[in-house]
Amino acid sequence: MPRRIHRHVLAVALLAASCAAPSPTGRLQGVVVEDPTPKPSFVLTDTSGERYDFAAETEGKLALLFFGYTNCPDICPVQLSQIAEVLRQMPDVAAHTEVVFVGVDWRRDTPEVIRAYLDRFDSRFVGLTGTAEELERAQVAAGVPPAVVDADTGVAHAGWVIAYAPDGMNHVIYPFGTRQSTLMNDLPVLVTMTGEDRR
Amino acid sequence: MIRAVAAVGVVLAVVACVPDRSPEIVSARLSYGGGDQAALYFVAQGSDDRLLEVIVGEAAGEFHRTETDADGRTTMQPLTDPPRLTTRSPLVFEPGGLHVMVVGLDPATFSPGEVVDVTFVWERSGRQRLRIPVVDPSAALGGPDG
Repeated sequence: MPRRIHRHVLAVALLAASCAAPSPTGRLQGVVVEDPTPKPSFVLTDTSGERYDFAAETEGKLALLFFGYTNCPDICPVQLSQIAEVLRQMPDVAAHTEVVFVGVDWRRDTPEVIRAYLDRFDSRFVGLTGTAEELERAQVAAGVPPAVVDADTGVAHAGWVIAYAPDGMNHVIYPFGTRQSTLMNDLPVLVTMTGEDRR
Repeated sequence: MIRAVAAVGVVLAVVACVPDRSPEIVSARLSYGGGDQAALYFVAQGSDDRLLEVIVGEAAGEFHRTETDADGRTTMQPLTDPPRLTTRSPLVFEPGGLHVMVVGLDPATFSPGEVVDVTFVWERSGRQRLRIPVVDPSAALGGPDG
């Protein structure tokens, strides 16, 4: 009899466990956004001088968006090189991922300067620039505080990476200091978040 | 007798002015991702001193601290005073915090995997020259998690 009870308990436990299987979001180790926001709509200029519509160009892909500047020796190179290193180790994920760097220092971040800067990390990274007004609009659309570019105090900018899954939603962000192990865990999860599971 | 006491006093005074030992530098790495600039990170410990200058190769470094404002923007602020090290409190230079920004590097002479001469100039201990590894920024955070 006790053995039979144990079997019933085990069956119920297994059923409960299967029902409570973590959602894709539950498997993420980055900073999960409680109320995911949709991908912003903005158009800037890429490093070949063409207009780049962020929402359209990244549709159906995992998009990692970062607002930085090329003369930044501390935060920006670490964030970009962390992503580059992880994508090098995960070519299948990289094939479905677009990394988009927006150079917020409109004084210095020309398309040529941004291209040379990004090529140090990964030549596939997309670099964008624009006028001060265009850049501010893009940052506001993405929900980050617009960068402050000052001749005396330098550049103050949002230091986190925003991840938009293929479903077009921002489920998670990666603040500065995020480890490669976190990205290694999360990016394969994010590329599968196509929105099909909600339909 | 008076001379002996005076001599002892002089010796004690000299000893008091000389640091017990030079600062120990650990976990030092120059994060370099190309171009003409880099960031130097390290921990200095085990002494009472102030760091006056750091020279990487031929380039002088600047002491900066990355700070975050109330809205979440990060920015680099130059230090106005030399950073101080005490025996009780190590001096930590780390990504996203206090760091030495190095500008004016010759890209032809730097690449990850190499080592570079770095000179630390301390107020009490004087010049301290070390060979420090150049690392890709992806290794700047250190540790097994990357």
